[in-house]
Amino acid sequence: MLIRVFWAYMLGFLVLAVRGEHPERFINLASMRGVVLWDVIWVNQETILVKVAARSFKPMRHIARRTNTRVRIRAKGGLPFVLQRLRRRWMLTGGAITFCLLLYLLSSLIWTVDVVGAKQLDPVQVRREAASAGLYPGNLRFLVNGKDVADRLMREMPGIAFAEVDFRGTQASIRIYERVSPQPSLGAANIVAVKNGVIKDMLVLAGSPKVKEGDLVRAGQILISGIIAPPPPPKTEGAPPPPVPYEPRYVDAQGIVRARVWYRCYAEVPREEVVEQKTGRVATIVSIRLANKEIIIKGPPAIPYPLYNLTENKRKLPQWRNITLPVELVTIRVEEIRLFLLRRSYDEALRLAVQRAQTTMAGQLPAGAVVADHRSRVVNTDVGRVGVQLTVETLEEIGVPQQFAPPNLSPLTSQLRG
Amino acid sequence: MGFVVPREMKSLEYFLAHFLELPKELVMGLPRITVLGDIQMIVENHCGIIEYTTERVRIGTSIGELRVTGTDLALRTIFPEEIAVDGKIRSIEL
Repeated sequence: MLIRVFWAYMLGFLVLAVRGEHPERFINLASMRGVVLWDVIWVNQETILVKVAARSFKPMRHIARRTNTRVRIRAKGGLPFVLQRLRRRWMLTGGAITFCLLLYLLSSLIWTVDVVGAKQLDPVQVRREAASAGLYPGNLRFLVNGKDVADRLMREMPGIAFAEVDFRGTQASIRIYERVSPQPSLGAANIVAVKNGVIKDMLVLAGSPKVKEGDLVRAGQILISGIIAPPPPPKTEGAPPPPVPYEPRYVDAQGIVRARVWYRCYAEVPREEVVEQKTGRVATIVSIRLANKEIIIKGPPAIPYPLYNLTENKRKLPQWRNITLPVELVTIRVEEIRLFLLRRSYDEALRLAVQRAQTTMAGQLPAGAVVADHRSRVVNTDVGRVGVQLTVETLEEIGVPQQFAPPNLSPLTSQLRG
Repeated sequence: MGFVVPREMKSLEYFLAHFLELPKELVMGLPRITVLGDIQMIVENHCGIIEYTTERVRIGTSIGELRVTGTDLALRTIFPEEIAVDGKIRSIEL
């Protein structure tokens, strides 16, 4: 059936109005002559509509004359007639084809080139370099190989550590990661303490130590100085000091200073507390929010619990330029909760307080600190609560370089420094 | 190899068709009428249309006239060998 409809469309068909005293005779004769008719619809006593293949219209005249009926074409359908109409209206056809081509062409152009991640570098310069590799607004997208452009950027611009090019529709975006170059040395540096502590051990690689093991140091204190004082002038009896002046040398102090550092934190837990507990009953409300109207698709119309926790998940249509549609799909998950008074024994409260203090402590300790010792002490035990102070001793490196400019380098020392 | 001819196998055509397992409507020139619910009827081996309106279709066959009544009747296809009547079929008479 479908294949016949398809062929009827491909070869073209006519809708004929057959008028006469006995249109049935027309049908019979036509089918006897091998003309296929379909979709025969009775209109009135002497008129019927029939569909017939376009190429069997000529024998139709003969049949009409024989059966004393008149045949008029009501409509033409199918591809040949469509093509004929299009040929007559070639401007329309041309316009449609031009439209498609133009749409394809314009959508395969690069319209914008964005540069993301340029902090030190000038985006204009990056764009210029990308343009010389072919990535510029107005170029055809399929002519540009993003990987080649990224490679060229990385090769040609020393400030770029890594680059990648991403096409999204007609927008190209260049993401660059800049090379972080080390700070230029001011000439000399001290090692200073970043926090208070007691020096456990130190290893001086360059510079002169200003503290020794077991010393208590404060944050900001110089641990290893970049100024190396001249040795005391040799004791020469009677003779005047040597003519060459002894000047202090300035170096980039280097070394490892490890110290014991203390951290303290406090946590308290009430003996009696009102806590929330989930009852396990959950309701989900799905709704569409239009500007300030809300249409509920699924779920109860109002929150059915007196006490609840609510999590809302909004989903919006993607933003285009600066147009946002005020339509949101909102999924609200409501969990019923119950309040109850929790009573803790002293031991329970103490354990929980220690645990909380440890959790807070874990957030304070720097990465790489070795915990050497920890103590907890109950400090607050009035009737209602248990307070615990946790003290943690760690072993960590506290020295950081701090640069300074040596005062008026004399030609001699600058020569020594190379 | 003896075979029994049943009583109803009177005519030669019927016998041949039955014995050779040929389609009977072809051998005997009978119309084959297929009815799909009350929405479509297909008549093979017809002898032409006698009358056609939306309420009534009369189709000639070798064993007489086939009358179909209903509403919105339309002749979906007309081939020399086959007619399909679509619409709401109420009754079929032979």
